[in-house]
Amino acid sequence: MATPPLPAPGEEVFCICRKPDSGELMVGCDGCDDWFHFACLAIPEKYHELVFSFYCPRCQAGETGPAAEGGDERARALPRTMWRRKCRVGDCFKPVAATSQYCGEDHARAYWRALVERTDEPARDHLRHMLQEPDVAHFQRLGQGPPRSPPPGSEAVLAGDGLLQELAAQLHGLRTRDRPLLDAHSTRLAAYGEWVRAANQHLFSGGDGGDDRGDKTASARARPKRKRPAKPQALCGYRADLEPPCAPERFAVEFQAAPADEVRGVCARLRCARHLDWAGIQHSALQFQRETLDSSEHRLALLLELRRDQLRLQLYKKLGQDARADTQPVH
Amino acid sequence: MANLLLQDPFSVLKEYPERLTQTFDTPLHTCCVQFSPGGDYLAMGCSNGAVIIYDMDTGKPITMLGNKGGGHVRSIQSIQWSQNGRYILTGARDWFVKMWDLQKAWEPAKEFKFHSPIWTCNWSPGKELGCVVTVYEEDHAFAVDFSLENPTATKICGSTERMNKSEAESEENVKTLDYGYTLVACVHPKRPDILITGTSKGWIKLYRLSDDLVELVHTYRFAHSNAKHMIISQSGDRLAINSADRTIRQYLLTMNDDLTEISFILEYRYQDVINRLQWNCIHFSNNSAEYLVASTHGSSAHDLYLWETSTGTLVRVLEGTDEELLDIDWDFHSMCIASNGLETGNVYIWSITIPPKWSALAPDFEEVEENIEYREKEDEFDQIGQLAHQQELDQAEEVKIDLRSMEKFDVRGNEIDVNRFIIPIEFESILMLKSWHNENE
Repeated sequence: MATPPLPAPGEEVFCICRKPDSGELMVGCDGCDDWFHFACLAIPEKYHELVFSFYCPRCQAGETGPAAEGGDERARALPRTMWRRKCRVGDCFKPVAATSQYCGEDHARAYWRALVERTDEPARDHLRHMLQEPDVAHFQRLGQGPPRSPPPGSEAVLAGDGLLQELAAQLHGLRTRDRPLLDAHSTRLAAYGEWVRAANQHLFSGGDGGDDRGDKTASARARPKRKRPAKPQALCGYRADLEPPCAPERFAVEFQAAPADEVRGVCARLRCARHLDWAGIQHSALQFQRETLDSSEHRLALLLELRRDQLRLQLYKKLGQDARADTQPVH
Repeated sequence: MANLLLQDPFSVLKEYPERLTQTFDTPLHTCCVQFSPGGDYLAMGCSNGAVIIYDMDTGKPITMLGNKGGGHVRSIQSIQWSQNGRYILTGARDWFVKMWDLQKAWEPAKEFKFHSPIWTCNWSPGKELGCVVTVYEEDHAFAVDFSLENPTATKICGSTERMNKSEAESEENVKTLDYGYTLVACVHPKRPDILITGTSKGWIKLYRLSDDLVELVHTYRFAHSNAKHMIISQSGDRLAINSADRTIRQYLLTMNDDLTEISFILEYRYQDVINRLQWNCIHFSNNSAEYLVASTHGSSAHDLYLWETSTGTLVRVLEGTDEELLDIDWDFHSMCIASNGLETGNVYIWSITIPPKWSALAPDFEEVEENIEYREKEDEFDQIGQLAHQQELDQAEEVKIDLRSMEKFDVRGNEIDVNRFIIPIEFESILMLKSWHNENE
């Protein structure tokens, strides 16, 4: 470093070295209006474009400048030199362009080209793959989940995983066994409900022929008839196995012939507190089962997907470790 | 100087809770509550058939029975924890009794369907995974055996009762005694072979159950109305019946070993003489049941009443809620009472609040209300006395302290030497929640 000449008397001096201007590269302090040599402050000269706001060591220590002059609390805080962000290309010391990490388009291309050159063979493929994403939105989503392209050999690993197979079997069972069973039960309940309704129709609100017969034969027929205006009459109709015992017409005839609390295994009480809402309960139980099935299917599908991702990630990790082991020299 | 207790033993050992300390604001409408045997968890049965289990330490729900299906679809009538805390028995108005294994709480372990709604279900301690169920409009209680692959239910019907029935059929004129429908049942805690049931016509029936024989050994008429609840003390000698005639009757139950002499001695009747309120639910305190707590029916009363059973006097009214209370359960380990409200379905917890005794931290100091003048005691600075005192201290230190063997009973006489079941964490459901959360974002 060339030593600047000693200052002549009366000449203006700068910097911490207190010497006059020798034409060397200097930076002006924003706090005290003094000028400083890059060399004296041990700042490489190549940074000169990157200075955003400079404060000399004295201002930073609060001896001079805004902190020493006082003012409100914010002004008294010690100032710091601020730098512009440097271009990402290693030997370029220009500041970045607005909303970019590079000084210009050229260096952006140069940086990425160099990055691709530097990476090893398998990773380069992935990088190329990444750069082929159609738009920014897709690109930004990269890395949030496992890679979409499965690693080689993943099919074998997936096929050999016990947990995955168990989940798949459960899902299969749900679809082929549980759901048809449930459907069969629903149709049986619906059919039996229909039968009970038909039987009740024959008994109470049926044709006039039924009424004539009822008036003649059973005194019990008179009782429901009296109460009819208040509320539509209906028998309970509960039967444990939900199988219609006979045709509804025949049942109506039998009930009218011999009214009892139970005819052919069917509960035939008019106001049955015991089996109250039996159809409603069974219906909501079935509904509940159906919802459960739906959510189990959803859950199993999700668990399968999670497990697959997990296995793929493990495989990726293993591949990465193997690759690293290959490149390292054998001791 | 011996170590003092930080908390005053007289307030710690209070025999009943006094203050409302916690309210569980449940999302579902709670119908019945039951503490786990160690008091760690609280199971709540809801009106839509769900059963939620709360952790009492954190006051947060930790699991829901049947979250993968198989839950009840109508309101829960009765919940019972098994003695080891691993199994739960639920009975509901959807005609099902279900047994849940908390190791796999997501679906029922076993279930049995009756042909009408369930009133109560109880474990029968004499049998592994056996229980006693009372069902709507049934003359007899049922014993359900959940240890079998396909659970079976058998009618608990004394051999003499059956004979009576066949006689009645053969000779129509002989009028057999009609006990009415069996509504409530409880098993004698000390004699697991004895089952006591209460009927709709005010009868108590006492059965002896052995492996292949059911015997009706005693009947007793307590009133002419429905039995609503029947509870028996842990010691087995106190029985209380809440019946539809607005009265709780407390009996002293004595029996000899071979059950030839059984007597029910009416000790006290509890009734609200002014408003004539019905009682919703009753519960005894632990061991020999020194206290009885009851909730009242009707929107005007929002309190729990607590009586001393030895004198029949009202000792405490537990207040703090502003709605009618239904079911009651009492946890004897941490001495708290849980009850659920009728309107909101929230669960209220009363417990003991213990004022800290700070002087215990510095045993030489004493808390005084106001300044007192110190007076030296006669022998305070006597040399001989001090020597004797020192010897005493030395002796006290020589006593070996057993730190390793567990105590069998806590201060209240509850057994603590039992394995408490800890409900496992469902990691899968946490995983699911996370992924659903991600999906929805």
